[in-house]
Amino acid sequence: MIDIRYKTFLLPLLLLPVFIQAQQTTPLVNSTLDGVVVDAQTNEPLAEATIQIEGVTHNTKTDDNGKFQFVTGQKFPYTLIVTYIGYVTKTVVATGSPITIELDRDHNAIDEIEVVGYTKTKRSALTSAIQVVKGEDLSQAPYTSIVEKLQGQVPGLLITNDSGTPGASVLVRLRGTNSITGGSEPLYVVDDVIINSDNLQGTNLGGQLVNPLSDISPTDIESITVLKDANATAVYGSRGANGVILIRTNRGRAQAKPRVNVGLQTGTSQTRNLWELVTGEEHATIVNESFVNSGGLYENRPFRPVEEATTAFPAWGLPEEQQTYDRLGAIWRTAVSQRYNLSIAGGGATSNFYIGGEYLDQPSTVKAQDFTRYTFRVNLDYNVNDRFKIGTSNNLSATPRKLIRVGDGGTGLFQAALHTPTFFPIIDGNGLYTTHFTFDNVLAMLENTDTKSNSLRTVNNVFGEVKILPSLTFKSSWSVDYNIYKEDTYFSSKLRTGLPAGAAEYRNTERATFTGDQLINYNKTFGSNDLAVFAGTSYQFTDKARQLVTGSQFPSDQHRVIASAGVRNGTTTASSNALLSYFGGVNFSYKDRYVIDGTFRADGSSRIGKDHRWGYFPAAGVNWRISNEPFFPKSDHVNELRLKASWGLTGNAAVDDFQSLGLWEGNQNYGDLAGIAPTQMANADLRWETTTQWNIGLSGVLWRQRLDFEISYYDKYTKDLLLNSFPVQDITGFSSITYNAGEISNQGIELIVNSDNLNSKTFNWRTTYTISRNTNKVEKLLQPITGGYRQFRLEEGHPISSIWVHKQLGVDPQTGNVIYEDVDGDGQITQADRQLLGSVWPDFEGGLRNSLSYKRFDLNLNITYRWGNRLYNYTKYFLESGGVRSTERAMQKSQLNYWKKPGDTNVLPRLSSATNPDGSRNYEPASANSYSSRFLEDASFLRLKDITLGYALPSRWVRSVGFAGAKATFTAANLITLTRYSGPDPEANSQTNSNLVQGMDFNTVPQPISFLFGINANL
Amino acid sequence: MLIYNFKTTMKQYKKLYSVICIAALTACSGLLDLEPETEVSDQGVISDKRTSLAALYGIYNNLQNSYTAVITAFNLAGDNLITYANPAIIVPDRNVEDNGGAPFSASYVTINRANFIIHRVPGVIDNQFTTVERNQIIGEAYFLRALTYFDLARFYGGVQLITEPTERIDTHKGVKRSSLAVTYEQVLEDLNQAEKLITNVSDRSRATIHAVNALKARLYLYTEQWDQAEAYATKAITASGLALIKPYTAFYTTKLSNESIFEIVFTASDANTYWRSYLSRDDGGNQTYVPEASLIGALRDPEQGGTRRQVLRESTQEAGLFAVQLYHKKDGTGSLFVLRLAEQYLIRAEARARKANADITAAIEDIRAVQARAEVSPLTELSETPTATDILATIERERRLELAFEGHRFSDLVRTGRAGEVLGAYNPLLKEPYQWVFPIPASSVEKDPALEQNPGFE
Repeated sequence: MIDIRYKTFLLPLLLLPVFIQAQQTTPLVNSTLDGVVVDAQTNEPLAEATIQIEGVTHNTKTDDNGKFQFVTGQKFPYTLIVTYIGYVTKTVVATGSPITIELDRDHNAIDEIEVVGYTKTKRSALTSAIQVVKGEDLSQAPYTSIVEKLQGQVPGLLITNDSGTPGASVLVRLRGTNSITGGSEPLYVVDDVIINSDNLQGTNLGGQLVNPLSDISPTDIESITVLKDANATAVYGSRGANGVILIRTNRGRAQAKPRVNVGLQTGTSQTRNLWELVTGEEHATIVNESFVNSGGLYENRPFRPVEEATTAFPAWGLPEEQQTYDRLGAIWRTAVSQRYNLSIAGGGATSNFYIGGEYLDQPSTVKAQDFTRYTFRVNLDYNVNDRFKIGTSNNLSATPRKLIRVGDGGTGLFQAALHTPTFFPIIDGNGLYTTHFTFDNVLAMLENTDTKSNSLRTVNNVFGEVKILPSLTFKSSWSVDYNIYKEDTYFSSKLRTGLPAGAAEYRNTERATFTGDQLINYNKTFGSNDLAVFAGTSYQFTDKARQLVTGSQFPSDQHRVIASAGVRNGTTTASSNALLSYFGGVNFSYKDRYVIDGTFRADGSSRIGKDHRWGYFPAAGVNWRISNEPFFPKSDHVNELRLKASWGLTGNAAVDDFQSLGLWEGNQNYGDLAGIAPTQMANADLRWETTTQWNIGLSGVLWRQRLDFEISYYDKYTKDLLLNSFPVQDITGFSSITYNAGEISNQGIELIVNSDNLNSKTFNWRTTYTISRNTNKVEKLLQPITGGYRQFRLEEGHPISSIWVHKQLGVDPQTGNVIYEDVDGDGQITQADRQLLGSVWPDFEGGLRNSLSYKRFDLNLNITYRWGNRLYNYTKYFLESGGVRSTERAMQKSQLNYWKKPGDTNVLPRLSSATNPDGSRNYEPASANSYSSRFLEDASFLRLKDITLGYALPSRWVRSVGFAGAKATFTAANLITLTRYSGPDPEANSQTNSNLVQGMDFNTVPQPISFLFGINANL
Repeated sequence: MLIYNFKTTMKQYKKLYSVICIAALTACSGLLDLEPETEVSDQGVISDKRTSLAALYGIYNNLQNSYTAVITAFNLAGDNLITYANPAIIVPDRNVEDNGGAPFSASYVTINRANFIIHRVPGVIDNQFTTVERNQIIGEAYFLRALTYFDLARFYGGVQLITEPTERIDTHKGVKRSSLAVTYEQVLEDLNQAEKLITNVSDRSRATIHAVNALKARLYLYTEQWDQAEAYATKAITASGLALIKPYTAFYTTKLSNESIFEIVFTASDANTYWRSYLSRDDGGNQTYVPEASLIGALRDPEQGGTRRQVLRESTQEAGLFAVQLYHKKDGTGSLFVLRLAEQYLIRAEARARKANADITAAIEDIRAVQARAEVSPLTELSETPTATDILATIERERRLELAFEGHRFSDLVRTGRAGEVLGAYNPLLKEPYQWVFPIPASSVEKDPALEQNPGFE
């Protein structure tokens, strides 16, 4: 019964094969059956369950309250077949009315409904690569953001916890890196709201960045869906070019008794496995030897009697007079964290609600860094009538942090604690801070750093959904993500940056993103075929502004507000961008065996040059449910087998605003005279970066649903690669431009296996195993580009973040000089002998999750692993500098193993900064930047990420204090890490936001070992 | 705060995203035409006197950074200044990964900004904009371009000559390096233009006619046109309002003193940070750069340094450590001294000693003028058999002491052919002539296939 009005809409609708409409013919009435279908475990009503009387075509569905009514010609007793997606189909004999039917959850449910973009579909009908992770399966480790908790759970999703600082940035790459500066992060969508994941931080923390996703509490999560291939992400258009992570938060259920949930968790974290440094005497001995070997005169050696000091050559005393001062120990502490959460969910006949709040206080194991978060969530749904539904989702959060500059730069804490030589005193004879000539004093930093930030954020969505016809729905959804990020720093005059009389910065950064989505859905079932069509439009507008006020010349270090400053400066910046989209799609399912779908999207971005503004992105997919073919043998071995394939084109325009225009900027002042200057070269040819992606997947369920698997292969090819710092010739007077400069490919394979190893009344054991591999290659690039750290390079024919160094073959046992491979064979080691020694990315990575339960106990183990990934250990580059950095830098113990006499092998080179006969240098003096492959290390690892033991408290105890149920958990995180990497943490990544430099370890806070105790109760 | 942003944003949002968009595609594409707020699109940005001046100040703004690098790189390359962290290295050698901090890209930023002025300001239509004002602005741009090319030539030899503003990525594609001679010709040509256009005689924080003359004198010194060098130095020395002032320290303790011909200024709200590199920990500095031992000795010798010893101050915390006081203003308002009168005396002395009909007496008069101001005792006397070699040695020493931390020493030694002997004594690599120019930064060569590296650094 296709209604004529449908044609006038031209608008296709979404297929929900589940929603099979009942045939409402009413013949002779012999019985009326009223009933309700509920979840056997939770007793919550199940809406849209199908109830069919055996032997006839007559069926009906439950309403939103799980209720149904049958008016039939049949007489009691008769047999009902009740089916519901995600539950085991049940056959019951109805002997009278009313009846309550309890359904059991099917743990290997292949027919769960998956939300894919703007539509929903059965898992068995998916043509695309997607994966769902349930909220309860998220890691219990004390990570502050949702994404960190996904590590190892989704094949193809590479997650690196860059540092052990709570709330710090996380590197996320889905199916490799297919863009360099056009943004490589996936899109995050929380309850239909596209949320900003780019950073608002303005304060320089030496490479350390705060993670904007930490504003969303992981406590309220119901499920996370990862959309991987182009067909799945197509409806998100350009924003989904790097994959989409859909996050659903908890909602109440209709007709459910209010459920109150209370949780508390507390724990401690400690950092272990740190760097081991030389003693003061060892330092002095090495420096003296190096000084003489480098051509210095023995009588001028730095560590000689103090009386011998001359104007040019200070004397620090003899080596044996040197003391050893421990700075590293001073910066760590045992951090005690606490988390409290409370939520209430419930619903009435027409509405339901979820209200939740959380408080988290999680100090860093590095002193002077704290992370605190307050979140509050309200989700409401209301059925105005049978046809009209409205709802809202709201997240409010405040995230105050205390921060300290940890990483790069002379004013960083790690430079102060790790790189200041151990012989150099911390406190002088008068009890005052000493000042090292390169680094801040570690105690001065810990006691005087005053850097605070606070992220205030509200993420809101309202929607209305109207059923125009039974099969035609219109949904209008409006969202805002509004974030204020305040940063407030006072640099005391005891710190380098605060010299001579204090300095302060106050930043207020605001960003608001408004999104409006209009969507129309049509879905219809014809016999055993389903058709779904949808069309929509979306508009997104982002406005960003920052005010910066600085002050200096303070009267004292007690007067810290900028109002007290003698010199005050202020500046403001603002920017905006907009994206307008039109999209549509169709999905057709034939006899539950063949599914074909296609989408098309047009995106217009304000960021792209006017002439190339619109991008057009089609995608299509097929799914063949082989096991439903008549020829497929019914067996207990193979219960389900599906083959799917998809193809799609996605676009990316995630460059900075206004990159196509030539711009002149103010604030180019000369003294107090206001100046302007050209700061950006025009590029009218700026185009969309586009990625073509193939995906082929095979999934199945084996051995009576004991094991299910999915294996996928993908091939991505990116053209018109956007580079926002594409170098231009210096003679232009500009250093770089945003330019479409190359092509990149990624291929990969992913596997996930879920296995029910044991399934009995008392003992259950379930394992999830994931593994994935991605290979990445720069196919075309206008010219090689060297990273900000020059040991990293982007070059045609090689992966992104390739290492570009001199390959060290060893140390000459006779001379102790370093031997580098002389690539061009000219007898000299020059720039031309640098080699690309492969990338930092892993060959394989994945995770292993084991869940066991026995009676009241359950145990979860999460293991993540990575194989073949490498790190450039830049910390070691400095700490194994052979004494040539003299009194400037510390050294680590491993330095002691250097060449001392002819015949020494397996050692570090002879201590000298002099140029060797072949032009190489054993160690680099402070200013040089020539890199050896000896700092490039294998950072493969296997990590017991967390282990959680749970115990459900006996109900008689729990009830006696008024609760319905309670569970205690004990978690240990990062307990064991197996790795050959010599630094403290093989997951370190100090330059997350860098375009070209990934896989560098430079003064990174290692991930702490944590122990947590939690209790969760509901009533 | 919240209200501010919501108001503007919501206004646009409502205006733009209306129900119309669902139906009509065309009506909506206007939603994507946003204009930047912080910057201004480059079409017609230089449109009147005010914007012409602002664009000129934009050149000086970049010079504040690039000239800091010029002075520091030259100071460290010579034997006057060393790094505190590596006292064993008196004279460093350079390689392609470490070119001693010499500016390259920053110099072309200055040049591009000057090119915009030179090409756009003549076409500006503004009734309030007099020819004198217009010429002054264009003349200053020529002067700053000349100064920048001159320093590029001192660092690298001949460089790529760009005289048109950059409009597109391929505007200057394939431009090759010119010879040193042609580069110096470009400097001269720009100075000739500046000489014609500049009328400013008093504001030393910007290019004056005296600055043009002084830079010309320096250029002629480097190109060994002694008569011209003498003539232009004389123009500067005899200019009214310029004088050697006492004590020696006055030229850097006073802002825009009478001795100053051109200095790059900073203010409290536009402060420099390089003072930290020179001052000792006593004064809250980082003492990154410290003077070399023999220079300390010479400056503190009354017969050589005189009152110039005051440019050094001994640390109270660390015996034997001396810190340079030239950039001593801890609020960051100390200037960079580009051209000052003492140098002109020494240029003239050298020109007079080297010209075809050498005038040794007059040369010594110039030397004595500089020494007298520094209260050196005794002053250099005219010996009975004066030889040019002696005089030149005296001039070399005077220049080393008088202009110790102003970026002259290295290129003086290279210019006079003495680099191998003097600097090579500290570092054998400096005996090699290829080390007398700087390598162009590796990153710059990588970006530009037309840019050839200096020999020995490939």
